[in-house]
Amino acid sequence: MKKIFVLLLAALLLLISACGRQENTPATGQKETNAGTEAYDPSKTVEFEMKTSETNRIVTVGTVDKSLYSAPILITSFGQSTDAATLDTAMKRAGANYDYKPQATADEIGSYKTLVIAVGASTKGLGQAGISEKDETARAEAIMAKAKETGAQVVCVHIGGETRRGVLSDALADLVLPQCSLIILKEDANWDGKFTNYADQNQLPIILIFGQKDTVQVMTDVFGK
Amino acid sequence: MKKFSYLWKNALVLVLALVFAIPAALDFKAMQKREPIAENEALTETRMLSEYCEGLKGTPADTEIYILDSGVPGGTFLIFGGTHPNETAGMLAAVSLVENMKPTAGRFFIIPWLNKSGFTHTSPLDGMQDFFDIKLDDGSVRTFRVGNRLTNPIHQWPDRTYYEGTSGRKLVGTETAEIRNVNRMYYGNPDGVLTEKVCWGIYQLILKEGVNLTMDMHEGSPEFLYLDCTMVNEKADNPTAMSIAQGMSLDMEFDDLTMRAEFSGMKSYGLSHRSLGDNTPSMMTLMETYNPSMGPLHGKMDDDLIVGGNEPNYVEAYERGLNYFKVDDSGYPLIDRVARHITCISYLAKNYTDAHPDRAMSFEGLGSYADMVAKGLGGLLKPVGQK
Repeated sequence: MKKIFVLLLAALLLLISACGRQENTPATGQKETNAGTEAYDPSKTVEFEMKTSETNRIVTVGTVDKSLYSAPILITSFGQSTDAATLDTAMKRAGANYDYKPQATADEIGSYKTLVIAVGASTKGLGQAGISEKDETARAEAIMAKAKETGAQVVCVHIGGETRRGVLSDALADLVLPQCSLIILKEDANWDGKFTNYADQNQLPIILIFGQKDTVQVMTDVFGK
Repeated sequence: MKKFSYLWKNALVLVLALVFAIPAALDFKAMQKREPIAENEALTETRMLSEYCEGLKGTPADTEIYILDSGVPGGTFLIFGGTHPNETAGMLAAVSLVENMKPTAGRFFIIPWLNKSGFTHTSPLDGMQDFFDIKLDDGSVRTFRVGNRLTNPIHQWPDRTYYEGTSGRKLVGTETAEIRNVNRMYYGNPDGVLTEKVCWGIYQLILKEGVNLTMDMHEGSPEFLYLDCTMVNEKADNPTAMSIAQGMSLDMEFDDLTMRAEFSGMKSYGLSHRSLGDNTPSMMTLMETYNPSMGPLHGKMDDDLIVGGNEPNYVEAYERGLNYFKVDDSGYPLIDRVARHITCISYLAKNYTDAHPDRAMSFEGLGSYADMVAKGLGGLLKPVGQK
């Protein structure tokens, strides 16, 4: 009887200890959010009609005057997302002459005739760069003020798609849009018509692309040799 | 008579115990046997990780490093799978590279079973099985272990209630078991726990061999946000790292494959891309693909799930809007994930070479993503004499 009791007790203890389940921690520690917003929630996306598609990947609305975009050209980032690095790669493949300074200051942009600005905020990118949202906004404001002063042409590039929309991303876009002469947009980011409506109301040319890879073709067309 | 009865009962208990213990022991011992690897003429040398951390010598955590040197001066690329043994595609991608790669520029250091101790046990409470089979084109079968994401507690025990590794990550509360997680203990410690010695070996390998580019191959369940994603440490002294990674991402997209690049989290203390990237000159990357056999919603665990990669529970979860990662009925077979890892590595090498022509690194022998998928694992892996 005693043995049976001991065995039952041992089995009970084994069962209790086996129930302590190991936590399944993800391999990379943290969850990113679009800076200034909650995490992107796919269930909250809005259905809208896209002009681009798998088979019609690039759609230009309006006329792009390529002669406006003369060298020297600077690529910079507003929001420190990875999109500026994509632009860097696309421009390299386009064979364009340009400088790439994702954290350029207003003092550094004076000599550039064309500013290509990758708009889109990333908490990870800002963290990596050691820049606060406030400082990034201040840097963006200073650059736009300087560009107004020098008369540099500004190209607003938003290629991060719908996940690159949020409070800070939109605020940074709103700094660039009033001074830009061309918008390049990955179209899924336009779910609320923000960019096409602005282009339409201000008679700005806008190039819509279906995927990030289309950036290479667009950069070749606009900035290539 | 009473004495005989007593002996008889004890003998019965002993026999019953052996009935359970012997198969369990054989099963346990079988998991300690490393899988064979097929010969490749291009293989230059095989070393052990203990050459870079003496404390690993003679331990179950010492592991093979396969070196493929093109003989053409260039860069050095370190590639490892098996950081988390249950993330199967990384290990198999590394095995496929060792068996098929023909380097044409630079050197490649490849480690298929980085946490070798982790391959010697499994996660029965997660419904994991210990082995899976792949039938090759010649009719033979190769068997691989699944393993556990952590070092075997038989080799490293106990888990301390508080531990702070060299990265400054504080392992406390629910994270105490992570003291056995290779990807939490970088850059390691030669005098620390066994897992830290593995990390130290990698750290020293990178420093001593002048490794320029490192890839740590992982997988995750669809609850995880960063799938089909490569984490990149963009250090101040390597400002081209993200552009190189975005070049890879664009190349993948041109092949109709998704592999976005993302910045390494600043607080990812102890993870390879953060801690090794911050403390060595190497460009550090970590790739994740979706593994349907991982995660709490997986159904019946068998070879169909591990190799076939179709988990209806996750299809339903996606349809209900519970996952970020899109999962559909077409599944995510192991060959697709292996090919995706290898293609990403190939494009990283290409874009790294474009950015640093003096550190060129390139290889042939595996073909494109489409070639690999068409071949299947049965054609990609080489026969090793197993039946």
